[in-house]
Amino acid sequence: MAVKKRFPYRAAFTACQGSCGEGEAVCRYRCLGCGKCEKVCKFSAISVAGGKALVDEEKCIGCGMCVKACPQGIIRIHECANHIAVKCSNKDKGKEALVCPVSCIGCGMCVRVCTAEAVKVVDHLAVIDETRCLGCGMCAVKCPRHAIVDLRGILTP
Amino acid sequence: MAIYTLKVNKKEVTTEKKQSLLRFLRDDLHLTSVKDGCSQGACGTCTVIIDGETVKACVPTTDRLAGKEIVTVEGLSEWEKKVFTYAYGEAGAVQCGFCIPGMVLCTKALLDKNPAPSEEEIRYALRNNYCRCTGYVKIIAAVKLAAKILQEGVIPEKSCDDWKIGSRVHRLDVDEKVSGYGKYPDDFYLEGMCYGSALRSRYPRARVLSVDTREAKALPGVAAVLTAEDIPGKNKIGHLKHDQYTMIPIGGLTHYLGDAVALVAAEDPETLEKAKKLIKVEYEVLTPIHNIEEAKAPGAPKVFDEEESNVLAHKHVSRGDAAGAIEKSAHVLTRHFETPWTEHAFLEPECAVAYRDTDGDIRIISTDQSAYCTYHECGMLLGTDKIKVENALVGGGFGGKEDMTVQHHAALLAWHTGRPVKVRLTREESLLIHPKRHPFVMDVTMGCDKDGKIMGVKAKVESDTGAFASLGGPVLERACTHAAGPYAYENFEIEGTAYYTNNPPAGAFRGFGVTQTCFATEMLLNMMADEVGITPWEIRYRNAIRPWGVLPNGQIVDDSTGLLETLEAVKEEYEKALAEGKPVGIGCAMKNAGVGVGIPDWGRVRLIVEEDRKLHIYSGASCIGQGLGTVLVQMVVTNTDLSRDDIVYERSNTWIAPDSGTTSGSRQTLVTGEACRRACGKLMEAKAGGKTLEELKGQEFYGEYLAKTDPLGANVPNPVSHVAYGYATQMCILDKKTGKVERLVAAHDVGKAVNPLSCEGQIEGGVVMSMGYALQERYPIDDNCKPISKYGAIGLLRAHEIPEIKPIVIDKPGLKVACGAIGIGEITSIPTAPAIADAYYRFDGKRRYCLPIEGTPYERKG
Ligand code: SF4
Ligand code: FES
Ligand code: FES
Repeated sequence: MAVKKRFPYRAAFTACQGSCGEGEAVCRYRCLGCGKCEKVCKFSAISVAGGKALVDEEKCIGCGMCVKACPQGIIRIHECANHIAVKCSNKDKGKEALVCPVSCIGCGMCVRVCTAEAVKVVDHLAVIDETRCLGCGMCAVKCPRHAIVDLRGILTP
Repeated sequence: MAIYTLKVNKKEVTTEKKQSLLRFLRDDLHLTSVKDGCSQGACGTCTVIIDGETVKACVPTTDRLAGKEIVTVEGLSEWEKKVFTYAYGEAGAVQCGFCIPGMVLCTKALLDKNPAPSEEEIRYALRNNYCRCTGYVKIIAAVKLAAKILQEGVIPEKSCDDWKIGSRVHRLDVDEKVSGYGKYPDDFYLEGMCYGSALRSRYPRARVLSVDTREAKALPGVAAVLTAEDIPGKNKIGHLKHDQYTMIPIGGLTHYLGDAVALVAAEDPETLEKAKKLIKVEYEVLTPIHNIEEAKAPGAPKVFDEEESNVLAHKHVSRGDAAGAIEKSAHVLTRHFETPWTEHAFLEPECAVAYRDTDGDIRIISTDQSAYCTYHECGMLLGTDKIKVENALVGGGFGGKEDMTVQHHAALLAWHTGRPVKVRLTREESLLIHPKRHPFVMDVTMGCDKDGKIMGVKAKVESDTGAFASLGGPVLERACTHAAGPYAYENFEIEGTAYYTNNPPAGAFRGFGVTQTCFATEMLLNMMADEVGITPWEIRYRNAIRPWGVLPNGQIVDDSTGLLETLEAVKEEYEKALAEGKPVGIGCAMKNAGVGVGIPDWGRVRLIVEEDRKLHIYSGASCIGQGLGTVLVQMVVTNTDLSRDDIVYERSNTWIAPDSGTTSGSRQTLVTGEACRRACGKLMEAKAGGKTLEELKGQEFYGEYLAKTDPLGANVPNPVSHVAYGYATQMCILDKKTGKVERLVAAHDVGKAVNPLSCEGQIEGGVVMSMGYALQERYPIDDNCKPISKYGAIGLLRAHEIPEIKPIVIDKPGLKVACGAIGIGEITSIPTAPAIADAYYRFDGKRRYCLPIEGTPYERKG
């Protein structure tokens, strides 16, 4: 670890799985793979590969430079211990959001299954309140679009 | 059909069914250490380790887990089991135990990755698992200790292994709870067992016009469908007052959404749910009573056809001349206070298994606070006394398991089907069904002289007791008698009324009404201190009841009275916080141990020397997690010449163990403890001349104790309302920067502490529970009288959210019974809320009169 970090660790999180563009439609909220984040990061903690940004949580110190640099506004800083996250930034409604195999369509399934009342759909996009989330992953397991993921790779691939 | 192959505890296992991992582990593999506390992803009792990470097993389904390595507590190595059992025992981390296997796996997953975690890292590792008993303090300590032992590779000697009273011994149930082999009712899978459940009313208040069960009965796999007509004995049962319907008969009124209309038993839970949907019920829907206001409105519809009004109970307690004294007071304050519904949220949902045994009796395995209550109420229902009840482990109660919720339904279904039946509430049902803490509205006036001496208190309080009586009457009574607080003054008057509504029922909850009225009185006292110009500590010190003083109820207290000691215990830190300009709040409380007020309150214990040449302790007194078994063994070791290894503690039952009353009113340590001491005396007489247990084989030694008190309003100058009171002072210090609670100090006078380690555990658990009550717990009810929050959203505090908690056990012997031990179960939860609320006033200058208090970082918005 380059810099001594304080627990609870925080790191950048990119809310996009980079899976669109396989058909003709392209998501206007997607990670562009532009590399601006990579350029501003002083710790080489974020890099663009295969057209999407990947964060190395070990290196990231959560300074937030990339958050500011991202033209799409899809990067945020979160606590790494919160392993259930919505990995999508698509704010389109229902059908319009079907531009990607793993986009959030705002169906509200996650809201219904969440025991902690931690999920809300804001602008047709699921948002998890990390202070309330109990990390169960029910939303991730039940999401018909696989837009919510278990960052540990246990409950979702 | 697809076959899913999983690796569980290093063995390959297969299943054809796509089901939750939890159901597969429990129902198919019978790995019952994996508990089902909610099946919704909230509680964490189902935690397992998958590929090194903790996962709540109720979430993933079997089809997604191919190739994954799953570990449960059963799969830990012998060494790990030993380490965790030692660490959890030494730290005193185990109470009811229902959360413990999950916590143990969190411990393992953390330490496998991070052998020397910081305190913060430990809290994070535990934070997705709830514990309602311990307040997490000792679980965190256990993780630290386990880390140390795993690193060093040796398990040290127990720090204390002398089982005498006063010793911090490891509780006797640590191993079965840590290793997960101890059984709660849901862990019983009996041969030929079917599953039972109730169809509940669709409306909180409606008349049942017809019930058609034909289709449900015809469904293959259904063992029985019962309605009120199938009850052989009395339909209406109840803890004291018999107004709780087992099932609503045709023509009868429903009282809340939890009222059962029909009962079903089926081969499996899926068929059960299908059958319930096939029952057709016609209702005449009526307007429900939502709250106290509606209940008492003139011409209000009645909750019960058979009652004259919606008033369950009315109490009036008066001594001296409160109104006159207040009039003459230099300072007078009047305020309106409100406290909310609170859910017990014990980790183990209600469950009972009933079957007909070889004697032809209905045998009930239950998780309740009194096997004898279950015996009496189910006996009433079945019209027979051919019933046997035994307690399995009880996964927390806190007052919420005093009533019949599943036991009577299981008994009736077993009676009809002749088969073992398991009835288990879903977490959603549990939130609706068992009686909650009463919400109270209170108007209180206090008068003090110029020095802050209380001259008189006058109050009017009302409670919403919901859909049936439960313990609504006694709760109201205790709320009224204890509203006066632990102070010496003569003029006190209070009027209280409990109203039926169509809300879920309210009943006993740790503190038994005192949690509510104490908030009001203590808040007024804090304000009064400001009026008079002294500190809240000083005003309490001036008014505190001292040995041989007279309480406002007329009782003369004896020399075991330790309120002053609790105040003095926090004094230095209180003054230091004041000097440093830290926001600090304080609260005091007293709480009876024993039922009191003239109600016959018996403790009974039977000691039997059995074939194994050991002394078995039998008492019909439930251990609901507090550690009664350990207390009784310590009593026996102290009062006989036996050692720990000669003694076996047996769980409560109704055929060998004598009735020792309900685990309620903080009474078991004192009342059953004294009975045990007396039985020990008889054993020692028999042992005179050096007889060994071998020579006493087959003999029994019986002890009983009546905690004798005077009824409320007894015509004696100084009635004894209760045989003993515990006293406490709690203090809350806030962090000025974050506005969060930094430290809670809780000084408790417990008489003689039987096991100080367990005492601390009670204090920490009670304080954290009440911190939730003060700051963030909620139990919202909608217009249809339905509680709408899920278990994960009611605001239970989590491991990373608790402040530093400092329990101070003040060991002040003096009480003449039970070797001086006074119960501590409830008082730990009483003074916390006013202490916290006052600290916030010192922080931001806002007075708060309603709980949970608003405008703090803990407030849950939206
Ligand atoms: S992981 Fe569980 S608690 Fe967290 S948002 Fe999803 S469903 Fe809610
Ligand atoms: S049973 Fe799985 S979290 Fe409660
Ligand atoms: S010991 Fe944790 S819930 Fe009871």
